Amino acid sequence: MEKLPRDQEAAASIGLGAHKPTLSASTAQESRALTWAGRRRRPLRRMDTARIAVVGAGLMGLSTAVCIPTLVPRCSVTVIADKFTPDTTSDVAAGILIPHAYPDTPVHKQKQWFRETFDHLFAIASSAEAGDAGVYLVSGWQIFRSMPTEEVPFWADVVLGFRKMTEAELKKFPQHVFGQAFTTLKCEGPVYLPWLEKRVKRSGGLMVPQRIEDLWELHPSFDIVVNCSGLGSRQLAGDSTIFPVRGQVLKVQAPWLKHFIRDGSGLTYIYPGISNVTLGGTRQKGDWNLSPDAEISRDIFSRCCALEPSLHRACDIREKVGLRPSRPGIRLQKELLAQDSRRLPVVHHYGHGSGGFSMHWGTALEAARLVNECAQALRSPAPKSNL
Amino acid sequence: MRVVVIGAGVIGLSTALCIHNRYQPVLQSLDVRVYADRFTPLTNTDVAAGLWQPYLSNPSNPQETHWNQQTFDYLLSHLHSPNAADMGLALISGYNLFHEAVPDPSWKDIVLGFRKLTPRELDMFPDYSYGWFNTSLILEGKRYLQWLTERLTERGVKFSQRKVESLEEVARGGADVIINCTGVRAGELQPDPMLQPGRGQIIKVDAPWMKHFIVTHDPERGIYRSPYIIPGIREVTLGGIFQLGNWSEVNNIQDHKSIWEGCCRLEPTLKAEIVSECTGFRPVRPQVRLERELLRFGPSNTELIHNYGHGGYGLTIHWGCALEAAKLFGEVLEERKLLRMPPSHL
Repeated sequence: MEKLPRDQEAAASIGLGAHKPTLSASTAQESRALTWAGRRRRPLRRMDTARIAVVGAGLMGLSTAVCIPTLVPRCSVTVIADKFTPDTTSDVAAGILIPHAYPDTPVHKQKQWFRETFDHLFAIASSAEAGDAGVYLVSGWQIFRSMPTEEVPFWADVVLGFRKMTEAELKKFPQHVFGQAFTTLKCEGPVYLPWLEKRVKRSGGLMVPQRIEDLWELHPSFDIVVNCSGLGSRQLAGDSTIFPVRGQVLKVQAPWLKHFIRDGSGLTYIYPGISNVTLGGTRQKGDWNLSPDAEISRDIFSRCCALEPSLHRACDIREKVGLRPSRPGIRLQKELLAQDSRRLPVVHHYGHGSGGFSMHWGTALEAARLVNECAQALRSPAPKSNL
Repeated sequence: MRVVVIGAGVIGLSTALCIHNRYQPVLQSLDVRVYADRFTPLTNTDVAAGLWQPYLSNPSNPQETHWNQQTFDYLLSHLHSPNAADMGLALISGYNLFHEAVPDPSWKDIVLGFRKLTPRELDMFPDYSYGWFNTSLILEGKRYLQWLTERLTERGVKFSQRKVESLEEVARGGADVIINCTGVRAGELQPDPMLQPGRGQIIKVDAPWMKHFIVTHDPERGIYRSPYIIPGIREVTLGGIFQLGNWSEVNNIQDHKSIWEGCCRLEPTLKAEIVSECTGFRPVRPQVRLERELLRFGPSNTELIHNYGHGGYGLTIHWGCALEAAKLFGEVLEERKLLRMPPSHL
C-alpha cells in the first residue's frame, strides 16, 4: 500500500521547531512566549476553526483523528507522532476482537465500547471496503485447561454464534477441558492503519512526523490536544500508572489455518491473518526490551505447535515485539493544563493494554465527544477570570 | 498379483493406496500400477473446491452415508499431524444458506459444532432467511493428489500415462484385478446409461481475508446451481454451475457472469483478483457404482472392481469407497486363496 509522504515542512509551517530547546524549561517557555508574543491567540471565536493536535499515530491516534471531524464542527486535525505504521505497537498486535477485562473500568462501559467497535467493524467487514481496510470475520475457539470462573463472558452476546464447544470439538485439544466457540472480527494492523490514515487525509487531516517531548510544545499552535501517546504518557502526562507489558509474537506463513485458537490464559494464541498467522505470546510486565529473544521464540512456537501440530510446516517465521500500554483502566479524560496565564485543554485517550483493537472505536468516539466539549467550552463566552 | 487401477483422480489414487497399504504385507507379491490419460493437475479432482459436504438429501444407497462418515473420520485423524498441510487438509467453518427452513441434514453429527444461524448472522445475507453453521474440512484436490502420488511412489507403485481403449486390452496385458476408477468417462470403457457429466465451472480468486465457506441452496434450481464460495489453502473458489449432459470443456462467458454476479452479491467483499477459471465434470450417477464384475477374455478370468460415479461428492466420500473397494479386493484374494494371513484391521 503506497504511503503518502509526511512532510517535515508541514511541521515547520505550523510552528513546530525541528530542534529541542537547550535552555532550561522555564527559560525556554519564556523565550517561546516572547517569540509568539506577536501571534498570541485571542480566545476561540464561534466561527473559528478549532485546531486539534492528536499526539500518537497508532490505533488510538488514527481512529480518534477519524472520529473528530464527524463530531466537532469546524475543526482541523493534525496527527503528530514519532512513529507511524508499520512501526507502531498497533502494527505488531494481531488485532483480534476478544476483549481484555480492565479492573478499573466499569463492565457496562467496556461492553458498550466493545459493542460499538464490533458493530462498526462488522459493517466494514460486510462491505466492499473489507479487503482495503483489512477487516474480516474469523471463527475459532477459546480453550481452557481448567473450568473458568466465568463460562459466559460479558461480551458473549456481542460476538456471533457464541456457544460452548462440543465434546467432539474438544477432542482436538486433549489438554483442555472446556471451550467456547464463536465468530469475531479481526483487524489486520498493517492494512487497517494505512486505511485509517487515508481516511484522516481525505477529511483534510495532516500527518506530521515529529517527536513531542512536552505537550506545551503544541501551545499556542493548537487549541486542543488529544493525547494518544500510549506509553509515551509516562512522560507527556506524568502518568506513572501506565507501564509496558512486553509481548513477543511470531508472524508465520501457514495459509491453511482458518480458525483462531486462544488459550483462556491469553498466553498462547494462534490468529490467522490476511498475509500471515500471528503466534503468541508473552506478557512481561515492566519489560521495555524491544529486541526479540530467540529462546522465547522457540517457546512460543512449541506452545503453538502443541495446540496446532500442522504449524510444524509453517515457514517464513518472523519475530516481532510490542509493548502493550497497560493500565488498570483506560484513561479517557479531559484535563486543562495551566501554566502562568496559558491554558491548554487536553483530552487523554490511552492505556488500552491488550484490549486496544477490541475497544478502539468506542473509546475514539468518546474521546471525540470530549474534544467537542472542549471546543464548545472554548467557543462559548467565558467569564473574565478564567481565560 | 498384478493390479491395474485405471484413473488417477482422487478415487483411483486413494483406492490404489488403500489396497497397497492393506494387502502388501500379506501377499507374496503385489504389483500395483496406475494407468490414466490425465494426471494432476488435469483431472476433475483438481477442479473441485474440496469442501467435505455430502448432498443435503439422504443418498439412495445408505452405505454412502457410512462411507462419508468414514472419510470424515479418516481425514480428521490426519488433521492433528504435521502432514495435514502437505495433504491439502484443513479445518474450515462456514455457512449453508436457504430461502426457507429445511430439515437438518443426515450429516449434522458427522461435522463439528453443527447449529442453526442466529438472526444477526442471517443479517449478513439479506437474500436468505435460514441457515446452518458448522465446522468441516477442506481437502484441496490438487495438493491431495500430489500427496497421494508421493505416497504411492514411495511404495513402488508405478504410473503409466496412456489412454486405455478397452478393459480387454488391460486384461490381456496381464492384470489379475482391474480397478475401474475412470470417473465421468467410465462409459467409454463400458456403457453406463446411468452415468452423466454434471458440468461445473469455477473461478479462483485471491481473497485471503475470507476464512469461511458460504454455500447457498435453491431447491428450485437444484444442487450446485446456486452460488458458493469456498476458501482453499491459498485461493478462494467461486462456483454455482451444474449442467447435466454438457461435455463442453471450454469456459463459458455466461457461466462466468453467473458465477461472478451471484458470488459478489452474496459476498460484497469479493473485490478480488481473478487467478484462474476452469471447467470440470462431476461424474453424476443415482448412486456410486462400487461392485465386482468378472471379465472373461480368453482362457482366464479377470476380476473387475468398479469404483466410479461419485458426483459432486468424490472428495467427501473417497476414503470410505476406497476401504470398500479394498474389502472387495480382499474377497478376491480369499477366493483365490492368495492370502498368507488375515489382513490387519487398521
